[in-house]
Amino acid sequence: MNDTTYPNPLGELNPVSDAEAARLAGPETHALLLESILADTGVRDSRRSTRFESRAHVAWRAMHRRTLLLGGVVAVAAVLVVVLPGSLAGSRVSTEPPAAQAQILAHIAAALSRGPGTIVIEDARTQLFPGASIRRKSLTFSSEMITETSTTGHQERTFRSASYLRSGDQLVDTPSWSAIYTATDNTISTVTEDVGVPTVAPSQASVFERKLRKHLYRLAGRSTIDGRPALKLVPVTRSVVSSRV
Amino acid sequence: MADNGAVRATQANQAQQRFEALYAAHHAAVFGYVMRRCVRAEDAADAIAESFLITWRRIDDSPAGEGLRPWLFGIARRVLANQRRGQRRHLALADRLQVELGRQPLPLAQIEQADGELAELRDALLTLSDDDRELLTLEVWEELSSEQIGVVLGCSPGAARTRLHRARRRLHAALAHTQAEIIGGEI
Repeated sequence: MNDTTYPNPLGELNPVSDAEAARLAGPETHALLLESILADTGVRDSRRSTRFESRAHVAWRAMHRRTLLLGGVVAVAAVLVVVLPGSLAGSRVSTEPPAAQAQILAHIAAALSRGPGTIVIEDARTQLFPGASIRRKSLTFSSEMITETSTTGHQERTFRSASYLRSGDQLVDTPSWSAIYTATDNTISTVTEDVGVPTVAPSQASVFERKLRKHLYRLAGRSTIDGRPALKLVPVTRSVVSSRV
Repeated sequence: MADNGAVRATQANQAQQRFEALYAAHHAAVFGYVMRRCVRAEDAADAIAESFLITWRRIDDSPAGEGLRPWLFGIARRVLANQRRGQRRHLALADRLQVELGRQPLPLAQIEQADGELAELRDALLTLSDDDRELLTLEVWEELSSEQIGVVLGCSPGAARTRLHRARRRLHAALAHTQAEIIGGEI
């Protein structure tokens, strides 16, 4: 009896191995893709698999989904009714932040009210796998010197944990996006044509906000500096700082 | 209130670490799965990016252990199916990936260059339905068991075995008049 096994010829039609496919994208692209995905703030869908659900439950879920969808449509319509007429008419646009950001803004306001505001920049680089690392940047509003305490044996020391962004400093995240910080009112104004100085046009604002999200910043409010529109930004606080540079 | 915030932050960090570990361990498998099924670089880039984006949003549902890889393939499979139905969704985060993948012909195009017996096998494979082709390639290209194929397709292991058996028979039939002997009983 011949025990020789032959490879399945279908395998010879396999156009590419996993490793070869992954190598078609460079390590930086992998890191950028991962970084962009992690910056996504969409609500994670925690629904369970429907595989073992009863028909009644599936039907209930379908009805529930339709109800939610209808509610979403009504909510979007309500927002459009409230926001669009004002902006289209060129009148004052509401600068109220979304409710979800209210608590963050409250903390920022409390920090700034105690003295001149500062913005701390933290850079972090995390090794994902050999050859690819991910860089995270976050901004923190604070009115106080940021200190860290490190205990080595019996010794304890306090040191400045990060550099401070001074008024007028330019913040460059990518070649297509940069901003200037103004300490007097703690705002960051965009300066590049690529993103564009935001206007009151809702469509531009939404495009800008998507770019902000991609770069780990969140639009927290609008302001004006010397007659130019400016944005107040807060970091997306999901970053894990493993090291500082 | 502050405690709730701390708990949420911890959970978010855990989810992020879990996703990073998942990406490090399985990104090559997902890249391979998608690129074995796409001819155009933009389709592959969008499908890969969207698959991982959906994975991130559903990270709390991700199974542990050996069930993870077929679960990822199941997500990628549904993204590709939506693409075929014309529901292609371009994501900005796929831009750079698209540029890199577009620098060379995608591997699937190289199958066109197969000749001889492999060309006949390729032609027979292409006469099958998408479902049959997917079953066979999941088994051979992705090296999945019937149980794992069931996870990808959302059916029971028994149903996966039955469908696989029928797909093999249809491939045999497609090859019958010419090169049935090249695959013998292996497929």
